[in-house]
Amino acid sequence: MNALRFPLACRFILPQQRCCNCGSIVGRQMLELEAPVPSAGLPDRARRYLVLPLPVCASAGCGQSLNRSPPAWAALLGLGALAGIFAFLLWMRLHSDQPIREIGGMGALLGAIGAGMALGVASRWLRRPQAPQSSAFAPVRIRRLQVARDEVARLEFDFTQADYARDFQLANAEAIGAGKLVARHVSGR
Amino acid sequence: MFNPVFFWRGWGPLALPFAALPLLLPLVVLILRPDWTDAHLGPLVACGFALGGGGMLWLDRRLQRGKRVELVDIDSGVKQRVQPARDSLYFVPVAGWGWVFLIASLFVAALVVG
Repeated sequence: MNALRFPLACRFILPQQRCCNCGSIVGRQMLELEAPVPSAGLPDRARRYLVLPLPVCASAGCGQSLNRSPPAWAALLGLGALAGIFAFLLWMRLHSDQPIREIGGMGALLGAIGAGMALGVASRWLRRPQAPQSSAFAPVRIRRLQVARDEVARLEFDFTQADYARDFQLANAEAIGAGKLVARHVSGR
Repeated sequence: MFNPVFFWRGWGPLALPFAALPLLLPLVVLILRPDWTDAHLGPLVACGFALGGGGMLWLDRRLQRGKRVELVDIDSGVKQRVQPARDSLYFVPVAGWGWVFLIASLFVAALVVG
């Protein structure tokens, strides 16, 4: 288990002028973001995280969202469906001695599953960024990391804050020009 | 890989309370509510399996997190945290049982509905 090596062409500078989430230039502090590295293309099956020291403003929202991963849609739908099934089962047994076909049948069960899934989706929608935040989740994410012989060959970042993404592109213009580093501005949702 | 003797290795015993939930949940509820009949038993067992499975998956995440090692690339100074793969020496197969319990909960739920 070795540390991935960053050759000269793949080193990056993280700008420190503004908050990486809301873009504010007031009251910054440095906090560590543990960014998960997508496992595709990595030499072993270990999970890897890059620890990125990032500037964050004093507002509680930006600090709290720094290490919050967006939940996967599939997980929200699956958990919602499970919750729907069990809520229906409990309700059926606690409030009715009738068999399922007499209290709405399969339609009622499917309705409960649908409602559970809708709640799962709504839970993600409810966690919206508070203005001027750009995201309620981690504002810097690693989209892809290509490795050749334990050395990073190409690194792709996603930024939810447009100004911070531009600062990063300016600070790392050489590596980006060489195609070793990619920085994109993406939606924070 | 999947190891059926997880209870006796490493941090495995921590998973025992979750493994006992399909038994404990109906037991506790029936003690508290003696008027409930065996018709309530099926959903309670199903819920016990679901909660136990979910709990084991949660525990597994916590345990795996504890195995992270911090490494630093000397040239660039970039800090990395590495969590060993599950089939390494540190493997605690709690997650495998978590999934088994979740699937079992669906089976019991299907029996109750059917």
